[in-house]
Amino acid sequence: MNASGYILFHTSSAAFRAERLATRSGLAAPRLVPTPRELSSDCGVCLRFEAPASSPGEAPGGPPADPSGEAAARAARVARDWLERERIPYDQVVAPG
Amino acid sequence: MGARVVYLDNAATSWPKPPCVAEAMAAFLRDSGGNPGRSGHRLSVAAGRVVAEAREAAARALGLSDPLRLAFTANATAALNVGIAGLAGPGDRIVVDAMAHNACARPLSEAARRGAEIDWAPVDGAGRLDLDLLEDLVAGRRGPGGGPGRGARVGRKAARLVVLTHGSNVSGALQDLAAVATIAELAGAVLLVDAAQTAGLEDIGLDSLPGAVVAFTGHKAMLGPGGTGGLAFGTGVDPEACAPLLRGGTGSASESEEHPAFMPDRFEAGTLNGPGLAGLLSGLSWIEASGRAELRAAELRLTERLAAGLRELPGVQVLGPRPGERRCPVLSIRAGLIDPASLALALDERHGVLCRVGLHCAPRAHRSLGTFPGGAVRLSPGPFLSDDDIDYALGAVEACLKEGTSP
Ligand SMILES: Cc1ncc(COP(=O)(O)O)c(C=O)c1O
Repeated sequence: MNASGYILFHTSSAAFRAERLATRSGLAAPRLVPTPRELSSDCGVCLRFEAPASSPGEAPGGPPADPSGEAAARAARVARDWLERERIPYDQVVAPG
Repeated sequence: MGARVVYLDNAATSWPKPPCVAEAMAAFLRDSGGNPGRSGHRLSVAAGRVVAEAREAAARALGLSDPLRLAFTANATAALNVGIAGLAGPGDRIVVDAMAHNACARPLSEAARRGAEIDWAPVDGAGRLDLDLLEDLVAGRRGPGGGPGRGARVGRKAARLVVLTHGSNVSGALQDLAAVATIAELAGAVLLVDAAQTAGLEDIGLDSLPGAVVAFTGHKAMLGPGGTGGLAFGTGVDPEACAPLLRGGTGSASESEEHPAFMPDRFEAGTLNGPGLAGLLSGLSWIEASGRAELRAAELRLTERLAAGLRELPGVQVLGPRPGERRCPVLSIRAGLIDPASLALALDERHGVLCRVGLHCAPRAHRSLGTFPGGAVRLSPGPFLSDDDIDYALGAVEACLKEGTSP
């Protein structure tokens, strides 16, 4: 069971730069997607990535894959470190969960 | 005369473009028709990706590793206007070379009206800067002109901004960019480079020129369409210290009625020229695939062949660098008392050889070369010409001089 994290950018130019360099980010399944409405940013697109879910998903039964939220926090850190390393300016990293 | 056309006006705009350029522009209009950077749907994203790829390619062409330090503008003129208005203000001293195009000279005249002090750095009869004089002028150790009397003016403040015509659009003189950058850096000045004639062909190496800001155009050596260009900031110049000239919609920070400070949106108010940037990307990709160094070598060889042939013609004076000297693929000629305009008309009508006459938007450059106000005939080869085209053009000039140019 996975949850999505998001990297929001001030400008879509930075989002496209991130998409281009995402293969060396260490993030799982990075993908440029329209910014979800509940996350405030209006550049239109953001970079989504995946991490094991820290709460039970829609599917009933099974326990969360990442009960302590450790994997989600780690993925967010990977995202931030990568952005700093590539010097890609960003607005915020929303950890999966 | 047959239908042969030899286009020797690539300094005005390159032609023909590689065939892929028109195709890329048509494909953009047909397939990625959204507004780049304005929406999250697939057509906007597709358009945004094309613009982003063009930004990456333009940055690579300038030797800049961070493409987000490059903003697109409508052309070099727009970029130079931003740089001149934004990098110096009232009370600042600006030094500019005497080969400047009006794209620099006119915004500088406006800067002077607003209280900046403009000093013109002298060039020699071929358009080459005297770097020792330039250094003294930039540092404030000498007044303009550099003569002994004026040289005595010591203790002036150092220049805030140095504006450099990297390659002359009249003589083809190519200045030593690294040396001028060092001179500017030593004086603490920002270097604004007019790379209209050189970007795409010459190695600019912006990563190694932290104090430089480069203005480029997309429709000359970058082989893109008109309406494309940009401004790129070296790592030591803060774009936020340069005010934009246009403010407006950017698709970012839309909650605010203040224009964003961040790059590249700071200088990209309003919808970008998507089809144009698709064409620019295609032109730059073609250059990368062909090899920029190889293209440059080929064009310079054609230019030297043209210059050598012209020097053999009686009464023809070739302006600009001597054989083998550093230059870009542009040269101008005077042919004794023959009016440049009538020579160009005869070349076009009788032989299909296309070139540009007049002052080439650079009156100061013609004064420097001694060809003001009559102007000269400019011939500028491009990547799609052959030795045979050059020889044909030489034959055409020779024939016009023999036959006379009256209609
Ligand atoms: C040296 C130089 N600077 C600036 C320009 C202006 O370029 P653009 O017309 O693309 O703005 C040109 C060409 O026209 C040029 O040759």
